[in-house]
Amino acid sequence: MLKTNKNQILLIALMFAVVALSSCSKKSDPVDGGEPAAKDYSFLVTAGTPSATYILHAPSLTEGTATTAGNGVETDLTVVTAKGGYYYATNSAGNLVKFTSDNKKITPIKEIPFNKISWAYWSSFYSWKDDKTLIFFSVNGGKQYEYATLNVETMTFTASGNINIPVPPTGYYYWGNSATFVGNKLYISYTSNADATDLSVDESYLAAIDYPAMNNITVTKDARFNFPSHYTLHMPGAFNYNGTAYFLNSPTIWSTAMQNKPFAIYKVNNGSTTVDASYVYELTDRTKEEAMGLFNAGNGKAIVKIVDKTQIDASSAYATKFITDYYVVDVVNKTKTKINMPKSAGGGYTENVLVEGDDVYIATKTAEGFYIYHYSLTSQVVKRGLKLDGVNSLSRFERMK
Amino acid sequence: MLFRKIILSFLFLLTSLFALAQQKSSISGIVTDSLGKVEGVSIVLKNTKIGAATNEEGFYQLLDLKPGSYTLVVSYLGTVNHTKQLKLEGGEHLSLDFVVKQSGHSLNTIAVKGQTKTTALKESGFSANGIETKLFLNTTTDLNQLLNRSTGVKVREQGGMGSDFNFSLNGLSGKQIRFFLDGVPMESFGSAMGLNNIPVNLAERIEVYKGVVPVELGADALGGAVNIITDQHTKQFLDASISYGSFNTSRAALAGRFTDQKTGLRININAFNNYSDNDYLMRNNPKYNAAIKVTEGDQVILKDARRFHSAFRSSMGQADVGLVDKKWADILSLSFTYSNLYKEVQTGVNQDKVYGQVNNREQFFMPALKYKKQNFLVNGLTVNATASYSLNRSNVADTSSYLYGWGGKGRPEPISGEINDIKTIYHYKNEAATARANFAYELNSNNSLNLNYTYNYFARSATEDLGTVKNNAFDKPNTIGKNILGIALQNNLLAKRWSNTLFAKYYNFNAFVRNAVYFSPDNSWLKTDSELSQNFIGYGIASRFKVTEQFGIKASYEHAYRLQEGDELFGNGIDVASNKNLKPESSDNINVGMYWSKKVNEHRFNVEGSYFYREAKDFIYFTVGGLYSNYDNLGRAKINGAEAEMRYNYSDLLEFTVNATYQKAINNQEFELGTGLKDATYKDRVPNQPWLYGNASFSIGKNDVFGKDTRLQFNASSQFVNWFYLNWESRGSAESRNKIPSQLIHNVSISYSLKKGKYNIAVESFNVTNELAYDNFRLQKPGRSFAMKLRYFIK
Repeated sequence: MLKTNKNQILLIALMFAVVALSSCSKKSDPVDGGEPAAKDYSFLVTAGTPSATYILHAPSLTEGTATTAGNGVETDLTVVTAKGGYYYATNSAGNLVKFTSDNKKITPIKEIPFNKISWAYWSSFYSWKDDKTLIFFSVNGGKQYEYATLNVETMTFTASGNINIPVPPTGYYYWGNSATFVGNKLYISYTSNADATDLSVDESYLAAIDYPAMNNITVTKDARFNFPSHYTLHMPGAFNYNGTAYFLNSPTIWSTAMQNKPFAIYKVNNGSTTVDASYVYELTDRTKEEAMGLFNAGNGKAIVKIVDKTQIDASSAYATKFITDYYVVDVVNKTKTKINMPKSAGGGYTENVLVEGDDVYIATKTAEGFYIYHYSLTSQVVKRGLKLDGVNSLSRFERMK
Repeated sequence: MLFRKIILSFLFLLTSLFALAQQKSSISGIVTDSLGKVEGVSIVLKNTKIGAATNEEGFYQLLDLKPGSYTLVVSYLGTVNHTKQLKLEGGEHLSLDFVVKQSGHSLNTIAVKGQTKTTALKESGFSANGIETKLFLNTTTDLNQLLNRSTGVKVREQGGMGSDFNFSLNGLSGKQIRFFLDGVPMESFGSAMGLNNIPVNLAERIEVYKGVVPVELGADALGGAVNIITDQHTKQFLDASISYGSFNTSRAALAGRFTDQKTGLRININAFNNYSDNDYLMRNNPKYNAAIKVTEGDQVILKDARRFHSAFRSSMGQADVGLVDKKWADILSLSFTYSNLYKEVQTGVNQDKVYGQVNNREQFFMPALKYKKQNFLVNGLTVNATASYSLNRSNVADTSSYLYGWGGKGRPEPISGEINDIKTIYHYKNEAATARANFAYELNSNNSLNLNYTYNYFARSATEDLGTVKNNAFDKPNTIGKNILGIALQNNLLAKRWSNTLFAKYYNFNAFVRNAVYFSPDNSWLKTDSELSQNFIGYGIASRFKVTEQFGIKASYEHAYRLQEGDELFGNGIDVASNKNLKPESSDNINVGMYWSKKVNEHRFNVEGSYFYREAKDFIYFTVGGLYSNYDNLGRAKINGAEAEMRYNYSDLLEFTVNATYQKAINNQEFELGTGLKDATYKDRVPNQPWLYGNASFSIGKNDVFGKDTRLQFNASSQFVNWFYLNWESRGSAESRNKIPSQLIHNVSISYSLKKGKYNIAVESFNVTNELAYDNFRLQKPGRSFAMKLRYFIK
C-alpha cells in the first residue's frame, strides 16, 4: 500500500539528502593558469533534538573545525542536489530554488514553479545528464513514471511528461528506483511492492529508455535481485564505468521486509537492454552484513558502506550505533578493501563520501565525534581531518569551489 | 492487584471514619434566594471560630460540633440576613435551610458569586487561574481568547475561526495539558466542541490548574488541566445571542434552563452555531521569511493573496433533562449532545503549502448521565458521578483533480491527492466511553477526603472509500483504556490558616493495536495484533498558609505523567512501527506563589505572583525511519519561570488588569540518543516557544447612563508576545536564524445593556491596528476585524 500519510514526515526525511546517480564523477581543481582559487566545501547538517538544518562551509577538508555555534545558515530548504557551486532545492511552497550560500546567509539565484511533475520523497529521484542538464524523475502515486528536464543555467524546463513504463498491476506500486545514463541510454532499475502488505515482489526490473525522446522503452525482469537501490535514492546506487552501468542490490532492514536476496552488484553492458545474466558480485554474507551506497571512485572502483546487520534492532540503530565500515570495491575484478578507520554511526542513507581524484573524503560520526576522514586510493593511508562541531547528522557534503 | 487493594483500603478507611464521625453533632442545609440556590453565603456560629460558606449548590455544613447552645448567623454580601438561636444534642444532625434576600444589580450579584469561587481557588494551595466570563458575555470572544489573556497560558492558533491550535501552560503543551467540561474529559469531544468554538456565554468560569492538578480531574495531565464550568445553580434563565462580522463570520448561541419547583423537573438547553469564510488577506512578508508566493505562468511572484478555501462551520445542540432536589438525588440528569463541523483546509504545515479542495466533516454524538448527592448514605459524604459514551465520525476528502497555490487552481493532477500521495476519502470513527465517580467526605471541619475514579475507553477505526488504501490497519478498532484513581486528604491547621492537600494518583492503561509492526530477532519486520498493560503512580502536595486574611503564600508539587497513546507504543500498522520500550512522559512540577488583596472603600487591589519549575523527561518524539518510523523517548526540558498579575477595581465602574509571564525552558537532553555524544544544543533555550508575554485589559462601565437599569461598558485589551526563535538560538548565523516576530494586538469593544442586562448590544474590533500577527512560523493570523453582537438575557 502506498505511503499515504508519509507527507507529514517529508521534510525530516529529506534531510537524508538526495544525490545524483552520476554526481560522483571526479572533480578536478579549477585551473586558471595562475594561483589556485580558494577552495570551498559545504556541508548540509542537522543539530539538536528536535533537529534544525544548517549549511556549513569550510575551506579545507583536511584540517580545522567547522562549527554550527553561531555559524552556518539555518535553512528549511530541501536540498535535492548541488553542482558547480550552486544548490538546487525545493521549498515548502513546492517551488524549485537555485541558490548559493556562505556561512552567514543564503543568496537565492532563481525560484521557479516546480509543477511539471509530482514530487514525493519516496517516489522521486533525479540524474545529471551533463553539467547543464538536470533531469527530475518521479513515479506519480507509485504508478506512473514522469520526468522533467531542467536547463540549470536558464532555470527553465526544456521538456517534461510521462515515461511510458507500463503501470504496475492493480494492487502494486513501484519503488526503489536506481538510475544512470550511459551515453543517450537511460537505465532505471526498480522493484514493486504489494499495496496491501508493502512486501516486495522479490524481483527487479530494468527499463532501458532512449534519451532525450524518452521512448523506445524495453522492460526486463531479473529475479536474482529485489531492491535495486535505496530508500528514496538519497545516495548513489549506480554508476557508469567504461560504458557499462553498475547497480547495487541493497535489501536493507531499513528499506524492505524482503531480505532474502544478496547485497550484490549487477551490470548492464554497453548498449544492452537487459541485466548481464553472467555477472554478479555478492559483496558480503547477507545474514551478517548489509551493503549500502555505490560512490564512484573511478577506474572501476566504488566506495561502499558495510553495516553490521547483527547489531540492528530497529530503524534507529542506523543512526545511533557505531556499526558502519567503509570499503573500496573493484567491480571489474570483484575485490574489496576495507578502509582502516573507526566504525561509525549515522552513515545510512546519506551523501557523505566525496571523491577527488586519488582522494576519498568520508564525513562520519565515530565515538570520538564528527570528522572528515581522508583516504588515499593509492597509498591506502587514512588521516583524520576537519572536525564538524555541534553536528548531530550530515545529509550531504560537496565541493562548491 | 494494586488497584483493587487501594479501593479496599479506602473503603475500609471511610467505614472507620464514618463510625467516628457519628458521635459528633452537625448542622447542614441549603440557602436559596428568589432565583435559586445561592453560593457564598456565610454561616457562622457566633462567638466560636466555627463557620462555613455555601457552595455552588447553596449547601453548607458545620461538622464536628459539641452539644450545647449556639447563635447561628447567616450573612450574604456583607449583610446579616438571619440570626437563629439553637440547642444541639449529642449526636444530633440538624437540618436548617434559609432564604436570603437578594439586593443590588444582578450583574453585581453574578460578579460577587463568581469572585467567591475564584477567591477560593486563589486561596487554595494549587497554582491556578480562575477566569470569570461575566465581563465578556456581550462580546464574541471564544474560550481560547479568554484563556490566552491569563497568566502562564499561551494559545497558538494557526489562523482564523476553527483553526487548529496549540495550548501551552507554563512551558508544557499539546497532549501534556488536559481539558474538562464540568469535570468530564474533553479528549473525545471532537473538534466542534473545542475551546476555539465554545462561545463564552456557555461557560460561567474557567479554572486553569498549572502543573499540579487536583484528583477530582482524573487525568494524565503532565503540565496541567483546564476545567470549563457551566452555570449549575441558576434555576431559570435564557441567554440568546447572535453576532455578525468581518470575513462573513457569524456566531449564534443559546443557553437556557427551566426548573419546575413542584416536580423538580429541570431542562437545560445549550446550542451554538459558528460560521466564517475566514477569507482574510495573507500579506506578503519576506522580512520574516513569510513571503506569499503566487505562481503566474513560469514565474513565482511575491504578493498579497486572499484565502479562498478556509471556510469553517460548527454547530452544537445539547438537551439535558433531569430531576433536582430529590431525597435520593440533588441532580439526576440525562443529556444528549450533538455537534457537527465542516472545515476547509487551506494550508499545510505552513502557509507556503496551499490546498484548494481538501475538507473535513465531523459528526459527534454523546449521551451522558449525571448524578450528584450531598449527604449520600452518611452526613458529609458527597458523591458526584458521570458516565458518557461518545461517537465521533469524521470524513476527510482528499480528491482534488488539481493542484492549488495562492494563485488558485494550478495544473490537473490525475493520481495524487493534495495531502496524500493518492486520492482518498477517509472515514474515521472514534468511540469513547468515560465513567467518573467522585466521593468527597468531610471528616470534620478541618479534614476531608476525596476519592476519584475515572475510566476512559477509546477506540479508533477507519475505512477508505475509494479503495485506494489496501493495508488499512484500522479496519478493526485500535483501543486504549485508562483507569485513573486518585486519593486526596485535605487538612487544615492553625485555625484554617494553614491548609494542606496531600494526594496520590494511580494510573493504569491498556492498549490494543491491530497489525502492529515489530522488528523480530531474525532480522525481519512482522505484523501482529499487540496488547500491553502498564501501571504508574503519581503523587503530590498543595499547601497554603494565610499570613493575614488578605495575604497568603502557597506551594505545590506533583510527580505527573502523560501516558503513551496506542499508536505511539505500537505504531499504526502502516508505516509506524512498535516501540514497546516507550516510557510515558513524566515531569516533576513545582509552584511557589503568593496572593495579596486590599480593599479601601470602593478601591480593590489584587496581586498574585508565582514561580514555577518543571523538570520533564522522556518527551515522546516521532523519529523518522525507512520503511518504518517509530516513536522514541527523546526530549528532556527544564523550565524555570515566573508570572504575576495585578488587578485594580473601583466599585463596578473600573477594572484594570495587567499580567506577564516569563519562562526559560532549556533543553535538558545532554547526549544524543544511543551514541553517548554530547548534544550541541544541551542547555539551549527550547526553540519555537514564546517565553515572554503579557496582557493588559481595561474596562469602564457605568450603570444608568441613558436611563434607569442600563449599563454602558467599554472594554479594551492588549496582548504582547515577544519574538522567539524558530530553531536553536546557539546554532547558525544570527542573519539566518528564523524568528517569529513580536506581536502587540489590541482589541476594543463597547456594549450597551438595557433593562438590567436583558437587552444587550455590542460592537467590537479585534486586532484594531491591523497588526501582521503570527503565533507560528509562516502561519499568518487574521488582520483587523469588526463584529456586532445582540444578546437577550433573562433569569
